[in-house]
Amino acid sequence: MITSSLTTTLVTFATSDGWQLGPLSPGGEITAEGRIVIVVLLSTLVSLVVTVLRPRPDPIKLVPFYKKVRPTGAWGPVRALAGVSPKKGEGIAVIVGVCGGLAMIWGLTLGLGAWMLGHAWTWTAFAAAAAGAIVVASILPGLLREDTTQGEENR
Amino acid sequence: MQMAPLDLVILGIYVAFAIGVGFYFRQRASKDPDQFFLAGRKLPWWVVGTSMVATTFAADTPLVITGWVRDGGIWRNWLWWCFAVGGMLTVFLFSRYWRRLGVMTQVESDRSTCCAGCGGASPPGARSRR
Repeated sequence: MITSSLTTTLVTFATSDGWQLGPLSPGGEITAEGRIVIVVLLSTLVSLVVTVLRPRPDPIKLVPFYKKVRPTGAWGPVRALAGVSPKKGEGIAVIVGVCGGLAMIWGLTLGLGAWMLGHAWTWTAFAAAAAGAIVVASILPGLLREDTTQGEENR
Repeated sequence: MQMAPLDLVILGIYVAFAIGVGFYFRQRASKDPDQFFLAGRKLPWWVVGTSMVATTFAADTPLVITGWVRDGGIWRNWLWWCFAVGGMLTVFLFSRYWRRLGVMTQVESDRSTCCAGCGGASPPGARSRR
C-alpha cells in the first residue's frame, strides 16, 4: 500500500510537465485524464507485484480477523479454518447493489442534464435511475440490518 | 480582496454556527473518542451520506469543475463522476467491514488486517471497542 501510494505520488509529479505519450497527450502535454490512466495502471501493477513478492501470511493468524469481518471473496483456506462464512449470496448482493446504486446516481445525473438540453433519451436515463433505486431499496436494508446488529454486538 | 459587509455577516454566521455546534454537543462528545469522532455510531444514514459528500468538496471544487467543462466540455465531468464507483463500494462493502471491525479510521482498519496477517497485536483502539 505504501509502495503504491509513493509510486502514485512520484508518477503524478513526474508526468506533470512535458511528457508526450500519444493519445494521452493530444495537445502536446499530457491531459488530466491521461495522468489518471497512467497513475491507475502503474499503481495497480505495483500493488500486484508487491502482493505477489511478499511472503504469504499464515492462514491461522488471519482467523480472528476473518471471524470478526467475514469478508466475501477468495478467503478459502482461512474460511475453512474459521468455521464461519458470510451470509449466502452476500457477494452477489453487494455487486448487484453497487450496480443499482451506480444506475441510480448516473441515471439521475445524465437524465437531468438530458432533460435540460431536450435530448430524446431523457426518460431512458430516468428509467435506469428508477430501476437502480428499486434495486438499492430492496438490497441495502437487509445488509444494513445485519451489520447494525453485528455492530451493537461488537461494542 | 475587498469583502462587503454582507460577506462578513455570512462569514460570521458560519463561524458562530460551527462554534455553537461544538458548545451544544460538548458534553456528549466528551464522553469518549467514539462519541467525539463518530457520534457514538448512531448517526442517521442521511447525515453520514451528507458528510461523505461534503468531505469530497473543497472551496475550489466548483471553480475546478467549471474550468474542466469550459476547457473540455461536459464529458470531462467523468473525471469526478467516476468517484461514484468508490462511493458505492464504500456503501455496500467497506463501511460494513469497518463496522464489523469496530474501527474508527481506514488506517486502523489496514493496521488490523496487516497485524493479523503478520501475527502482531491488534490495534489498541480496536481492541478496546470490542
